[in-house]
Amino acid sequence: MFHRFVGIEFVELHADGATMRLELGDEHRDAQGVVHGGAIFTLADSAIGSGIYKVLGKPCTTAEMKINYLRPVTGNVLTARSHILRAGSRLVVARAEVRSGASRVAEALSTFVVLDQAET
Amino acid sequence: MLPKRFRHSLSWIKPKRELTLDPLLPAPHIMVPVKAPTPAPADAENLAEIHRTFMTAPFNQLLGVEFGEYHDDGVSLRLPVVAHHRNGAGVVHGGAMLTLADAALGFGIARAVGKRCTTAELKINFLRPVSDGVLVARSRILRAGRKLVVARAELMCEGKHVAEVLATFAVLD
Repeated sequence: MFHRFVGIEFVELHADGATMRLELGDEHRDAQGVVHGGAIFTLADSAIGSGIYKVLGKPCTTAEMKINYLRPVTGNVLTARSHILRAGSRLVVARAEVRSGASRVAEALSTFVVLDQAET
Repeated sequence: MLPKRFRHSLSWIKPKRELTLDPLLPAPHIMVPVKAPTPAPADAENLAEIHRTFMTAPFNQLLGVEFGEYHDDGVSLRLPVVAHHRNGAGVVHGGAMLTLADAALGFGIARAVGKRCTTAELKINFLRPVSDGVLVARSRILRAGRKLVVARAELMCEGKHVAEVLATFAVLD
């Protein structure tokens, strides 16, 4: 499981999404010593994916995702909170915000495809 | 004079309040705009350093990112798929694919502009699921400006186009 390999943990389920957290270590850093964009993306993607799965009860996969990195991460823990914006029968649109303490470090917007039972 | 119904849309041209001048700064008329130097590709020594920093970046190493090859307008990086890249559905997690693409973009851009850069925003479309094989991310720089660089990357796996990325990087220094 990739998210567990990276160190992402489930925190809380909400009415419209989920919260997940990542405790940061040296292995999450990039060449410049700041947290790798890929680690932040993985956290946001996992929070959206598990939020959709747990709230809607449907397996799904990321079709596309856009992320804006707002500021470099300074803290030791990242949390991502996902919000489902619209749940259709085929597509689910959701957003997630990634925070480090009180500061917002990234914002993601994504489209997920609901998988048929036969595809899973 | 514009018809009344259009006037409000141009109201932003007029400043809403008077601009106040900072007494510590020189008057605006003697300020000379400083243009950042046009980016130049990294020289051989700089390139070796860029290569080293990207290939030893802890998160890239954690995943197993390998160097592929240099191109005129970017680089190729490889990621042989292993069990821990997969998610619960048995396919490679989008985060692993994005990490490879982001590394190929950052590497290609650092090489092209010879400066430190960081991802400002990035959009990825996943085209096909991947469960096995070697992922290859190939970055292409579309425009390298003084402050921003726009680039795209394509992710291939065993001859199939599996994801496409479009990103904006900010030049740091």
